[in-house]
Amino acid sequence: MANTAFTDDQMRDTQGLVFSGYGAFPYCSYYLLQIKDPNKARSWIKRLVDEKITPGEPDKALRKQTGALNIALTAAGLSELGVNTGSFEQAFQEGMQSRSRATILGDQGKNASTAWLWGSDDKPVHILLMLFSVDEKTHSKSQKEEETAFKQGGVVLIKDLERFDTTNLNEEKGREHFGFADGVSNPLVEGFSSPTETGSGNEQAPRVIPTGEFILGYPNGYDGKVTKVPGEETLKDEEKFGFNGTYLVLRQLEQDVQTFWTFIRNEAKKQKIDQDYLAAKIVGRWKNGAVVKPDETKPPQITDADMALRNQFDFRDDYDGKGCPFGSHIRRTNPRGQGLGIEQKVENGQLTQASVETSLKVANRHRILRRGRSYGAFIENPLKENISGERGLFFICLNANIERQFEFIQHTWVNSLKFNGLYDEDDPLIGTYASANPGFKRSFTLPEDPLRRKVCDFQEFVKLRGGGYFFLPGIKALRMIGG
Amino acid sequence: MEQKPITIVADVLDEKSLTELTRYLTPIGKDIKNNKIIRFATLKTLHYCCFIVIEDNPPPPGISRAAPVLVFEANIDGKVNEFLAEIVRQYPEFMHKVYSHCEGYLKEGKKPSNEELQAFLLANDRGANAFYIGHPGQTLEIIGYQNTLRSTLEAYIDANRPKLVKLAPDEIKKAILEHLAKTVPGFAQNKPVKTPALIKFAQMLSPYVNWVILFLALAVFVLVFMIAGEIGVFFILGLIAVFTGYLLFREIMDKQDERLQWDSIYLKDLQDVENRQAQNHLSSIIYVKPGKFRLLTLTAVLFFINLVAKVFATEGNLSGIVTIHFARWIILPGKANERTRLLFFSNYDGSWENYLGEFIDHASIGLTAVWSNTESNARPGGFPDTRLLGVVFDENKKWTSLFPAGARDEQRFKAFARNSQRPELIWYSAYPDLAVKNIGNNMKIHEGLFSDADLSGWLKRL
Repeated sequence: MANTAFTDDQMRDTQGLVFSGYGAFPYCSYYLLQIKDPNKARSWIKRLVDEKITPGEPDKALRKQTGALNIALTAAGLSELGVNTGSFEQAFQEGMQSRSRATILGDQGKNASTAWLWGSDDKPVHILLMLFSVDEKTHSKSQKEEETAFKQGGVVLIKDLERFDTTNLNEEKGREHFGFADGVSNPLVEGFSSPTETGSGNEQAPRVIPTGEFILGYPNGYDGKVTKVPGEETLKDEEKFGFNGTYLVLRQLEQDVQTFWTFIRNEAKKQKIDQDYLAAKIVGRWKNGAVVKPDETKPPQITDADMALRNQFDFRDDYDGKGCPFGSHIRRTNPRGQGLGIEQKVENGQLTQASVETSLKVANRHRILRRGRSYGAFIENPLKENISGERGLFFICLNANIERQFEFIQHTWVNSLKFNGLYDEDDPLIGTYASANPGFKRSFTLPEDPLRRKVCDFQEFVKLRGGGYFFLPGIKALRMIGG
Repeated sequence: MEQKPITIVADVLDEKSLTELTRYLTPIGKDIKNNKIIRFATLKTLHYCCFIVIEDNPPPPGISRAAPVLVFEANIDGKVNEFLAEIVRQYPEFMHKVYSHCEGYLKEGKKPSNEELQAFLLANDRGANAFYIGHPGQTLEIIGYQNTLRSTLEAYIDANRPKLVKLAPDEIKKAILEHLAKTVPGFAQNKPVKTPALIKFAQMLSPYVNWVILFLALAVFVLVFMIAGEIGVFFILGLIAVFTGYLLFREIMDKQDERLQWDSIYLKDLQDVENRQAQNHLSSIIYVKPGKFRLLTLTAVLFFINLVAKVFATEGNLSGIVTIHFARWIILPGKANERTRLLFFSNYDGSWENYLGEFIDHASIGLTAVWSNTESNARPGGFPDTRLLGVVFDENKKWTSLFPAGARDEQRFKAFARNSQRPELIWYSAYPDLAVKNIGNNMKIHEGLFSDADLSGWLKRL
């Protein structure tokens, strides 16, 4: 059994992104970099670690700062800098673009790495540099500083690519491009001294996820075992390269907002139902973030502080999916207290506490910390405007085991036609089963009284433009690289 | 009709045969549907099958390397000899060609007749020490029929929903019944198969398996007391104490693999055949720990699992795992100076990661009880440390997690499992698009059409 507790010092040795999405810094740029001169790159990293990098801050000192900077490296990047990647997780070593990972993730057809803008074997990425600032002026100043610094540091932007600037959709009350409240569900993590997020579960039993599910070197969700910390086998965990690090998954997901809402409009008209009702059923939440409850036809009034409907819920009162459909996006990406393969007992119209508990325990072994941001201009009225440009989500998530957490969600929940006893449908919002399997007709079932409603034969709304598996090392590990 | 496991194990003649066999079977496996040699779909009682060549690789120190074996795993309806006769009758060339590379195929130096080949196969069938069937009694024919029934029914609802939702629930069902009677041939005659009363009773008891076992154990004690008095009871208690003590001693001496590395030479090949569709196949081979004692405990555990699978786990649910169509364990004795091995085959829904996760989340006790008697091929020991076969564990009781975790040591167990796996040359599924849960639901839909119980529950299944 692990007895390593997560202390303030450990927090200061972990990069700040683990603890916060930096909501206070609305301006953000992602740089995808390639190493040209490893020696120069090492000194560049050394300088970053000494002067720029943002560690976890137990005492909320972050609030006094004007920005943040974090960096992550791919397996290829670590190798370039002389780090032996042989003891890292298999999925990370192979990389998101590899054939075996693509099979698991369903990244095929139009989503195949050969069609990506970046991250394929032809356009490998070594380093992800993430820059956050409090205002525009500060941001353009730090952009200039960092761009000059990495150019002198033997590191270049991937060919043909500008840096990626994100869009501040926070002004739109934290919406994503389809128009739904986003980022409302993030796990509450043990040992994080200033939790900025709420946990799923319910008010009586808020769920706390073990630290080791998100940072390497600490007890994980399996009886407090420690997920493998990469580094020299002979060293103690605390001395290994991977200690206080975590895996970072980055996917650039283009969202086809106009196609989505056109489909919703036409289908709602055809079925004589409300547009927002149909869209909410597909997402599993109303636009304001509240989960769809059984028998609801209109969104409930909620305030931003009202988390009960946004995150602190499970599906004990919705075990037959008549509120939030089994196949809906949020039920797939986090099934919460909903029988994951286990027998479910219903008493007084609700799942029993025991059924919910067992199921939550399983679901919580497949959680991720979401840290992504949107890019591209927001469209207020997707059905009227003449829309141009690309928009989407830089999906970023952190996890201690890519295969058991991120990949599992993608394969077993999002893209599985058999999720929750269903027959032949994938995640209606982000599923990519049809791209990987030409000829497959998409459908989505809405359990209703007295008979289920079905939506058939619709397009995919999300396209993968690039992606990669990165490692977000601890501060000491970055110093090891810097030499 | 009963489902049966076929496990034909034959020694491959030599290196040359090994190469030729692999060269012959590989393209068939890559084009299972359209190859010119064998179409498994013409075998109307075959659910799943696999052809795999297993080399004793890498050889353990000081032990002779066992000859490579060809294993043919099949999950069938009805009688084994009838199936073998059928496959030899339909595909004589394939079967002769495959087994001509195996020891004992030739009859007095000559090519055997079809009947002789069939007898050879039957003689080499090892069945299974433990066999689990997702939905016992569901023949290939029934599974197919019920799936057609559901598709017809779903298409009818899709086309007529606006009209149907205006009706009362019993009228909806009536309309569906009328439509099916008109469109599905033989609808009225094809009634759902009744579950035998004894199995129904066992299904009712299945949540209380622990109590049933406790009751049976007590009954044994009472019986012994009645026959042999106190001395008999003490004798049995003494036996148990000696057994437990020795088991603990052996378990403390065993060493787990401290590394968490996936270093199997077969890893790439495995990744190539996995996740091509909604179902997957797992083949694993591993050494039984040396000595008679571990062989005894393993045999006993498998006997018990077989019993649970036959009697209690008959509704697509093996102690919480709801993704297994068919699984089997076979103890493979070695020849002189070779090690005894444990073979495991499973035909399951979803990804490897999900399957292993379900095993650990729901069935770690049974899993540990089996595999803690085995050790890795690559290095001595290997299985995560275990005490008392891992049977003393209750996730609601904190103190039990003080014991070494066995299969609950997630990463160590996954590495152990991954390193024991071998890629198959041919794997066939008769219904690759149906999950265990789908088959169960189709069955319930069919039953509901001929029963008036729980109408609203039935409508939810559609």
